[in-house]
Amino acid sequence: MSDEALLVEKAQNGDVLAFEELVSFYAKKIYNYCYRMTNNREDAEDLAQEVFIKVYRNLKSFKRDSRFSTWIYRIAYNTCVDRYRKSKKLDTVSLNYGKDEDAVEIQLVSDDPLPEEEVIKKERYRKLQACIASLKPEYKTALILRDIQNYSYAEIAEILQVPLGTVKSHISRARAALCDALREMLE
Amino acid sequence: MDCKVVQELISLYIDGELEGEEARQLKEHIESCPECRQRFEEMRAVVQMVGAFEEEELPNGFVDRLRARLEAQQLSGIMRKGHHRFSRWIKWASIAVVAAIIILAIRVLGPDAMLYTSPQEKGHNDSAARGDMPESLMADSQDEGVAAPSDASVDIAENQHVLDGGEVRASSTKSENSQQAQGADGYIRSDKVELKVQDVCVTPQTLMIRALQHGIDVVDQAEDSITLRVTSIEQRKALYRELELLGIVEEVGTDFESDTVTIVIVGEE
Repeated sequence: MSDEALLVEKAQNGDVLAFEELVSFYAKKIYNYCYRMTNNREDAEDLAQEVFIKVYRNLKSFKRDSRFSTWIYRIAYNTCVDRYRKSKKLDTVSLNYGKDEDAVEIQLVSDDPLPEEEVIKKERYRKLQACIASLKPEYKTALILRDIQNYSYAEIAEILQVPLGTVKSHISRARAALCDALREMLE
Repeated sequence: MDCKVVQELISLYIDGELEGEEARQLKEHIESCPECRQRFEEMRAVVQMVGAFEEEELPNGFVDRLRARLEAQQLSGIMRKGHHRFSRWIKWASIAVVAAIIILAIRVLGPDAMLYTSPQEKGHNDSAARGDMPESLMADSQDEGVAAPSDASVDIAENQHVLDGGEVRASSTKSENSQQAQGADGYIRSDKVELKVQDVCVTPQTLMIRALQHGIDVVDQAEDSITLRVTSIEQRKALYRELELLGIVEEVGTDFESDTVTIVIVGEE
């Protein structure tokens, strides 16, 4: 049995320390996933915490024959989708990139002019991030898991509970959307 | 290879997900087609840039805040469970009261009278039934913390409605009374359904999608519940079929006249 499986079993039997260890292993990943989904740190923290609360409450229903990481990401995905539907707030960040948090970062360093290359890089980064945030949750999730968190197509299919072909097309379309956004920026 | 096909496959090609012959054909194509080559280079650059996104640090105090929220949740969870048992108890107590009233009414009036009495007469009959009600049952109903009306002529049906706190609603119309006589169980009128699910991925969202497929409108949606407007028996049947596929339906009402149904999702313990 792997270390993680052992931890999960202990946590399922009510071992709080084991649960906390699972949290410390996944917290950053889940937080980062939520951050990329929302493009907002506050929402990301709130969502990530909600994910762990759900994990805690439903730990006993987790079946050990599946992967814990898949399960937790599935919960994270659902939590983000629920929030998205409820408030549509995740969507409003989309093309508002003049006003998001990174704009503040830019201002902070604007006294000390960046080399032009750096400015372009930053601008591209913001454009990409905003574009990712504006994608539909399933596309966004596929892209984040594949290109940022390095999950395999098969794992993503398991998390999203869709066929492999759907994952391939989600990733392809999400990337194409990013290409178009960058191209637009250069024009 | 057609440009359109190539554009669809570039993403997979970048990930090394294309098999031998397909990969070879695609490579050949992008070497000879400037447009597709540009797309390939753009996409490869995008994948690289996104891959180079820096990981965000976890906010300070994240785990502490989570711990506090979990502790608060646990407390409210305990309270919710207590409440749950109480409401279930009330439900069964109400069924017992309603059943006793029906049996007594049938015994006093005979089944024919139940089917054919006019509403005015019924009021009279019902109060007679109430007069015959054993002391213990009266005491039971008062134990539930709901005051029984002091006016003995109050329609007993209304009385039942008060007793059960809305969960079991009895009506004063004659035809429904006959249904009631046919089966007290079928008369538990509750528009709140509890769905016990094993898969935590069953969320109100899941239910919403299923409901919309049957043309059922969503009235309200919360973290672990959803309220749907059900306008026909067909819709209701379809909804219950869906629910049975998703989990174990508990606390189910068969009130075919309530126009909304609230489904509360509970994880299996």
